Amino acid sequence: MERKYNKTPIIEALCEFQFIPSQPWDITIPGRIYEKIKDDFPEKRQQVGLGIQFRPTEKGLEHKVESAPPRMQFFSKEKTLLVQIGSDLLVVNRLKPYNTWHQFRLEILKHLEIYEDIATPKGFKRIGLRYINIINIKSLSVKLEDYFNLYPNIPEDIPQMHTRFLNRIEIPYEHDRDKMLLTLGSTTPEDTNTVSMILDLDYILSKPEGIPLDKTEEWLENAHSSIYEVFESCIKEKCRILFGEVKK
Amino acid sequence: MTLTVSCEKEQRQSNVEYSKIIPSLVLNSDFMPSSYYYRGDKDISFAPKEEEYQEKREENSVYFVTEIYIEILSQYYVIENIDEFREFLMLHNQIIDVLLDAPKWIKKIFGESIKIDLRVHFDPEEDYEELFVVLKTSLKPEEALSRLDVLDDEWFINVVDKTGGFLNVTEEVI
Repeated sequence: MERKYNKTPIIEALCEFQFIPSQPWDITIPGRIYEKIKDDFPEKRQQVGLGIQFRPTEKGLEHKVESAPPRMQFFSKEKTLLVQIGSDLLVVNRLKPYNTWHQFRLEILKHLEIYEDIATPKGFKRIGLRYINIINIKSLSVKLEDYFNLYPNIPEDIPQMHTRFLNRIEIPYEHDRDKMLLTLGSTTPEDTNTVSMILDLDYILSKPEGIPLDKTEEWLENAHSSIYEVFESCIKEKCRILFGEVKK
Repeated sequence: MTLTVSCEKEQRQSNVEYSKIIPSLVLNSDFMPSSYYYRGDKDISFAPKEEEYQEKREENSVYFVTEIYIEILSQYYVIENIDEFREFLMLHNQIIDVLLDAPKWIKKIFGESIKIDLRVHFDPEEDYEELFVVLKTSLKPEEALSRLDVLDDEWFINVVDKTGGFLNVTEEVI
């Protein structure tokens, strides 16, 4: 039985599918998908994508943010759900307030089915189920070990007080077919009396065509279970109090 | 061992350094910057191959895309309440182009030294929220109003359709 929280830290949940196409991208696909979903997703926008690129230089590794091909975004009436369609790409985003996995999964599968009917992809290049959590702690300083089981291990000889930090771990699952991209890092706080952190859990299918199209539901269930387990393993009781755990 | 993390009181930097401000963004490219890592298939390497560095990935999270834009916009604007602004921008991303375009017009008409704030205003009676570009000027009120009219004529009137009615420009004399 999963734990429930009144003040969930989830700021966004998203499921992204990158497809291996069966034919070159047809630019009428976003319009045909919109025709199917416009009653529930009436607001449409064209948005420039953002890509992040890394390249080695004489000064070391450089990264830059640059524009990527545009995609269509379809917002639900309440603007809590968003469907993004790009070239061989489908993303279903759930914004605040997050409701339940059951409902989010239904939305994912519904839109995947619509996409598959119209775009007829050959298979999956990549799938990602991702939960982004923002944890705000009202305090001038925080002992990470009081709140998390995952934190940077700083050798005792150097100062223990730090500001920005980033913990990133990639964990193989399912014999390297899948990966959990686990990130705990600091982020810009809402005010100067708060310490804010991001706990970003991204479970991905990293091997192209690692699963067939008809096994998505099973993969999603497994991905969600893994994310839930990792989330609960990363946090401690103080976080659960902060999130308002509903006691049975 | 006691490990503590303290509040960040520093201002946002004028040069966008994504790795410092949004670390997750940097690492969301399936790229592991460690000197030692497991690549799978029993292949242990001490450094990623060069071509792996050149990987490019699109960001699909509304939250992280918004954070990128907030960092870019922070070079031109003072954002009065970052949380309110983030939530506003996540829902009304159609105004981003207008916000990126605005500073060059404002500086042309009000001068390079003008300070520009972004302020989200919520009207609970109308259940309506709107973003204000607030021009902080030391000009005399009549002169400031006159220049605001010029800004309207030369720029805002041409982009107002792109804002969906969610953006307004006002000024405050300092």
